[in-house]
Amino acid sequence: MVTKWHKFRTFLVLFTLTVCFIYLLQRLRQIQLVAGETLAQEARAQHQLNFQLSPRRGNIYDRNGKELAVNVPVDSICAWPKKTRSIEKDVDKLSSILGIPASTLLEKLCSRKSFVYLTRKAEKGKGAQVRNLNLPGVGYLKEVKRFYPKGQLAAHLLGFVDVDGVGLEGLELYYNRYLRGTPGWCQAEKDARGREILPFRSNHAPPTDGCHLVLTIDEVIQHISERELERTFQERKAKGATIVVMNPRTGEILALANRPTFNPNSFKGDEVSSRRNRAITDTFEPGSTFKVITAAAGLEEGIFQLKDKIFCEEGSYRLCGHTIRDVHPHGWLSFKEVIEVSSNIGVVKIGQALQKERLYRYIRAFGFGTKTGADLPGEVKGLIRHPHSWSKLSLGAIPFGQEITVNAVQLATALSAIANGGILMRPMVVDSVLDGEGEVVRKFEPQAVGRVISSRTAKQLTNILVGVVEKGTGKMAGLKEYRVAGKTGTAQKVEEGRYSHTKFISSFMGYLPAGDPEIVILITVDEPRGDYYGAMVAGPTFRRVAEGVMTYLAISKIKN
Amino acid sequence: MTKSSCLLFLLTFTLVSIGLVAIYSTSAISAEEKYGDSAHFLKRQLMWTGLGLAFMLIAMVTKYELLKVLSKPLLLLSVLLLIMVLLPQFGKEAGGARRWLRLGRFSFQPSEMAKLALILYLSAYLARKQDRVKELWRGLLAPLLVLGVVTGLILLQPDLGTGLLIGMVSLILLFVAGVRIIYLAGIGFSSLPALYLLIFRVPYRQRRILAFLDPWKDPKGAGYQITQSFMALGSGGLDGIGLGESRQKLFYLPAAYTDFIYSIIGEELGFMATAAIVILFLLFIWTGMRIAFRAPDLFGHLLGVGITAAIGGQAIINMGVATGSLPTKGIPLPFISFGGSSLLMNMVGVGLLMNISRHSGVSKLKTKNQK
Repeated sequence: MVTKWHKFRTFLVLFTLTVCFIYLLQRLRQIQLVAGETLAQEARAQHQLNFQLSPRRGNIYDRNGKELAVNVPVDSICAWPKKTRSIEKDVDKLSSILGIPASTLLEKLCSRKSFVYLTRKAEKGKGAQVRNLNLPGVGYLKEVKRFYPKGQLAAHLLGFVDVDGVGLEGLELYYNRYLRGTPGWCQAEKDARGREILPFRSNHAPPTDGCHLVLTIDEVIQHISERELERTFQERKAKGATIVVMNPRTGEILALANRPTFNPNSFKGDEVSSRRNRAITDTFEPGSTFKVITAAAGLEEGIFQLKDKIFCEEGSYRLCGHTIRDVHPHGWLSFKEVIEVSSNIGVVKIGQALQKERLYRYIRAFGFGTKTGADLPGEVKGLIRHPHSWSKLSLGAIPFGQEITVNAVQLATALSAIANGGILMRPMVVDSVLDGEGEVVRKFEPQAVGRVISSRTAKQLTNILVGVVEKGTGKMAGLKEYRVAGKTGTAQKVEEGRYSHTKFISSFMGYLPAGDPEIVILITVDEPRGDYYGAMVAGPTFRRVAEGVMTYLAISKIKN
Repeated sequence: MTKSSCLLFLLTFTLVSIGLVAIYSTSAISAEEKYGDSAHFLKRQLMWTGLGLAFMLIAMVTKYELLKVLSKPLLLLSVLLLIMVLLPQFGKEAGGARRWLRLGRFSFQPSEMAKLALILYLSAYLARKQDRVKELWRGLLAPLLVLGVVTGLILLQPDLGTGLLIGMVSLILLFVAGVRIIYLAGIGFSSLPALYLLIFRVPYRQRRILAFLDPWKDPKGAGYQITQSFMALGSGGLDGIGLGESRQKLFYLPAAYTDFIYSIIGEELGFMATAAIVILFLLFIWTGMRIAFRAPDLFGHLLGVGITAAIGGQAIINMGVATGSLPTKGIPLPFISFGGSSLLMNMVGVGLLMNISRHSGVSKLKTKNQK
């Protein structure tokens, strides 16, 4: 029997349930209608996915548009360790494809991360090979890799990039802001596992690709220079070597190379020291090549004429308790002959006549002791002390290139000023910056730093330097077809505070044709074995490079 | 069919239809990813719906008197299944609990059947012994023991949510059957220490309680489900962001097609849909209770109240969890959430209510004759 009491109690139950439902309605109103917008914002924030769209890095070309640095598509082999299943039996196959030990692979594959790279930027095609293995949780991503098609050529100029394509050295570093481009962005929505939901892409801006660099370097001249430098470096079993080829009229560097060198495509395998662009980061005492500067000062100041006689003390000259010696003793020599035979004593006397202040002024005017401003990273300006701190002996050393340090580009630039009729040009490596469509974004014009000596003095110096090659110390650098102006250098290296008698930096610098110079070439060889005279070590290298380059320039002129 | 039966069937049909649409919308992406078939869960639920309709019909047309006779064997069968589910060779473990019996490609939740069987048994027992329900020893001992065994077995799975629901529905039945309030209070108080142990000695339940009190304190940890549910509901606003457009179902909100389906409905269709579902359930319990009021005898009355309270209570708990009104408990929303056993048993329940309703006229005749 259902009594009133039963029904009453049932009614109480129904009432309670109804109250609960009404409470729920109120609760829903509160969440969905009152707090709705706030909660919706919270939800949108967690759904939002922002990601970058990578731009393409700009290429690097030589002055004739030959590719020196480009991008190539590669495959990055990666794995999602949580999705790999019974990988152990297949790891050997993977190991043989990637060339990585199975134990290393297993460690990565069994890590707790949700994503690991097995090989970043492997050769193209490896990705397809890995995919053919059909391993769960192992795959590949398409990426681009920086590639230097000419290998070691101009390695120190170009530099290299890290695995993410950021410039680390050389022009890749110096002009990274042009090369890298501007990343685009994309706003989309993602699911809780972080994957983009394609239909919900809301807004995006495409990336702007990086700009291309056009260098002043000429691939052919660079190649000739590297070939001859390599030969000398090997033959002389030297510790290092550097070559700089410049256009004296513009300051454009046409070629620049160092030994030892590296391959920017696989720079990790090379010694760190081999990656240094010694032409600009290393300074050295120039030795006899510096006599040109002293001579320039003597002539420009009008203290000496070419024919003025200087007594060279028969090879031994005492100065403040120190003896300056010449390799071959001389008596009276003309100003011109002092340079031609490279007499230390003769040059010291020129320096003494100039006195500290004037000599110093010319040294600075030729650009020593300051950065050349070449667009290469890591330039070291060298040490030129102020006359206040020169000792009494300094005038017995600085005039022939001791007690001061310079870098190779400085020396080549200073010689260019003489070849250029007395006007010092700022050295440059980049000719222009092009955007993705090939339009010129920025053009680098040759820049004159200033006049250092008069054109008359420059002509006289050329006259002297032609003499050096024709009848002086630089005969081995002479060419049949062209008159060459040049100067040898054999600098003793400083070892434990004293000048070494076994370690030298042998160098030769010169320009041609002497009447109307087109190229300046500087070669330095660090610690050659056997012969160490600059003329013997660097002279023939200069000649071979000059021959090659002049032939090439003549051919390209005919072509044009 | 009586008017109440018609209305009840219509409400059930509407809720199941809403459920099917919502299940497809919320599960399609997970199903595509897991099984390569976006309709995987929809197909299963459709199959269960068909089975449910068949069993609903059987429950409706079974002889009324036979229900009382069947109550004991059904309960025994349920207890047997509840024991089986705890054995590793029959029970399927998922998420640290054994709640499912494997049946080929499908699985079955015995606790759902036990819920209905216990209601049937208690209704039959309390109706038969209606003179003695006020006595503690002779009247209450047997049903309390049965209740203890059934809930005990369910708590062993463990499934605290279903256990609590069964306990509450049983208390409602005892209350309606006329058991003294003081005894009920006694039962309630004596279960408090057990409840304390069950909740505060189990770290994850304790965290859930704390998260319920302040969900935004740790939205990435303990409060994750609640806050994600809030965000889903809040995003929906008044009229929702559109059917199928839910972002929260993309793995943000766990169990989007089962326990938290209501939140996704709220996100896609807004307050209008969530409120409509509340009202549909409200109509459902009113219709169910109306049938109970018109039942031919006390057995039918209690059975009607029990089934209605079980379905209504389950809906309240599920929606209460989704709206943060109750601590997180894994309980499906009747007729709507994905889940075969739950749907099947709720439809059997509807069939039983219709069976009672079929006899309501008889009761009127009887009372008239008696007068």
